[in-house]
Amino acid sequence: MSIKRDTLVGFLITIFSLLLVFYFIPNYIDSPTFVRKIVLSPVFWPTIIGWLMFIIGIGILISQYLNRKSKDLTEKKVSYDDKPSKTYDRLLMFAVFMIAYYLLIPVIGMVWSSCIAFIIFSIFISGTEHRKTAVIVGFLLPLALYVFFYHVAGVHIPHTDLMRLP
Amino acid sequence: MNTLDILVNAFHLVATWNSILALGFGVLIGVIAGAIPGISVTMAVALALPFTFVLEPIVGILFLLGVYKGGIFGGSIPAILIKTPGTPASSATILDGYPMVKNGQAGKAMGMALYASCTADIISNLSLILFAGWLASFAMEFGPPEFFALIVFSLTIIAGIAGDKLLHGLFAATLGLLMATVGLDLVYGTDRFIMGNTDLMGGLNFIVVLIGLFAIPEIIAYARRPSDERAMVQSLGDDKLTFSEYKRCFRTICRGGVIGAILGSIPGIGAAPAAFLSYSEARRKSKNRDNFGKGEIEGVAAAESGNSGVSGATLIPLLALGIPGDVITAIIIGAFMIHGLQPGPLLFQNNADLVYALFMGLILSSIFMFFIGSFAVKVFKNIANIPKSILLPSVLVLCVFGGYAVNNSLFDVMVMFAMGGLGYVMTRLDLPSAPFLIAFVLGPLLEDNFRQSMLMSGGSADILFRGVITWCFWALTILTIIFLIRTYLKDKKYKKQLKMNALDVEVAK
Repeated sequence: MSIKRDTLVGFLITIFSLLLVFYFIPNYIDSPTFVRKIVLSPVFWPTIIGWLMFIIGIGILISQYLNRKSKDLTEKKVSYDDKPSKTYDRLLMFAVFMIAYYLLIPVIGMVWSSCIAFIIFSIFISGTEHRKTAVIVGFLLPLALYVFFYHVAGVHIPHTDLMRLP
Repeated sequence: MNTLDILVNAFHLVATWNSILALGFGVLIGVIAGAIPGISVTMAVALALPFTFVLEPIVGILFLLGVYKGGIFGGSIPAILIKTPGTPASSATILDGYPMVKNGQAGKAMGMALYASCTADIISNLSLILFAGWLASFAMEFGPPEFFALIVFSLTIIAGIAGDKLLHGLFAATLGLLMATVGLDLVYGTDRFIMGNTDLMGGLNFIVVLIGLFAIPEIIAYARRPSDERAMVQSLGDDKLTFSEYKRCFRTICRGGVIGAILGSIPGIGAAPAAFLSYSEARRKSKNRDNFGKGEIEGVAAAESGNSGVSGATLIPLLALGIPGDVITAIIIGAFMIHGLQPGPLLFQNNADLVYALFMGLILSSIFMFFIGSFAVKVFKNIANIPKSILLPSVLVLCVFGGYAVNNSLFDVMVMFAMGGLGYVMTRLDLPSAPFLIAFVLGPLLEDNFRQSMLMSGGSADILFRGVITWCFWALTILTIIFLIRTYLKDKKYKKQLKMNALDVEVAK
């Protein structure tokens, strides 16, 4: 299956703008009842943005429709068949890795979770040949950042009792 | 305070070890980051920003300006030596820089890049010093309607020039404006898109959005297709630039510096178009025009002076009007805000000593760039050889610490990751990130000035057309839209012609 990228973008923008105007703005923006002029209402500006997006989305679709017959040599296509699915697996794996990194911070602290994340990213995700360097940098960089932010900048870097740093 | 007092105070601010070291260190980091293929100047400035929280305002801002200026020059090192531009602005440098390397003149090409960059940088800084104050005094007459019209004009240029796809750029800008509305309403204090999350009440933090948008997508792209490929770095050789060659190219360098300064002062244009315009003008006027593209030293001088001429001038709209000219100045606006300073005409009135201290620091940065640049060229081989499998995990860890340090909030780290995902999807869909970020910065200003205007007029739109200044900005906006549509249609026609020619060739076969 092959989808023209710009047509897909046009559809996504149009659908998103309609969702914004008819669902998100009425449900997720509180507007006081005593607003005298519509232009001063908290919903006015997002509504204008929503309709602008709609016009842009329709504009992209029209432009794609007008060019439908021409075989565009410069147009990029999203072809899901010619891309190795392995790269999408890697993308998914990296998303899981990022979520795990985020969830690990409150459990073991930012420094140790960063050490682990660095080493996993460098050795297992990137498959580096420089394993020793990865381990050394993986420990030294988060520790150096901890020293700067905690002791110099006064930022409260998340800690836990597990291997508490001075 | 009279002018002399302001200058004396400014000198005291800049003539401290902290300021000088911060500037020098900033230039060094910028040159290194610009020289590493895969690390953009924007990413470097964004990652450097959290380190400035603890610094004095002048020290922090000088540090970031050093990173910016160093990064622009640093980008030319891989462009010349390994045919890989470190920054988009260095793309024009490849045209003659790499052929010179192939001809065994790498040292000469690098020398010219450095001298042209430093000379054009001085021209650009002088234009900033001459025009920013004048523009700020003119902008003192602006009220909310004038600022609203000005921001609409700036956003139109930024969204339109961001890429070859006008509508994609406009959508990215509207998305940035939408993201800027998240949080409490400016006038009534009611919720907007908070969805019950109290962390969102203050809106999405600019620095977090910025780091997420400009650093994380690179990491995701690398994680998808990891590779530690390294390019062959050519040796510099013994062939050095001579004074007579510099003298021969001096007119070209000055022209490039002026082109860069003019284009840099217009929001949204940026360094790459300035470099290409300077290059094409140099080729048009040169006696050696036939040698351009084959290793002409004047070509390197033109491209480098064009891109470096932009860096000081982009600060003109930033300092005088509070409007960022490009993504990097949008980051620098964030540094001002962190320290409780609002760039714009009032900055010249309330913090004139700081503004003049910045001017002095910028002049000093050109000198630092000369010495640090000379050193970086010699050690480039080591810089270029840092494997990406070590570099990008380091960037990820820096992002997490930097994103957290903004508000001591883990929620911000999550927002940063989410923005990184959004930035990656935007890249895949050809939606430019620059209009998104600049609209995100200008969004609250735009809405605030609009609503203030409406409050002043009791809801009448007439106030938006109240004087010559507003009419000028609206006229410029309309002219820009007409120009963009014409360019867009011309481009379409040209592409259609290309297709027809290609089809003819296919039929002939």
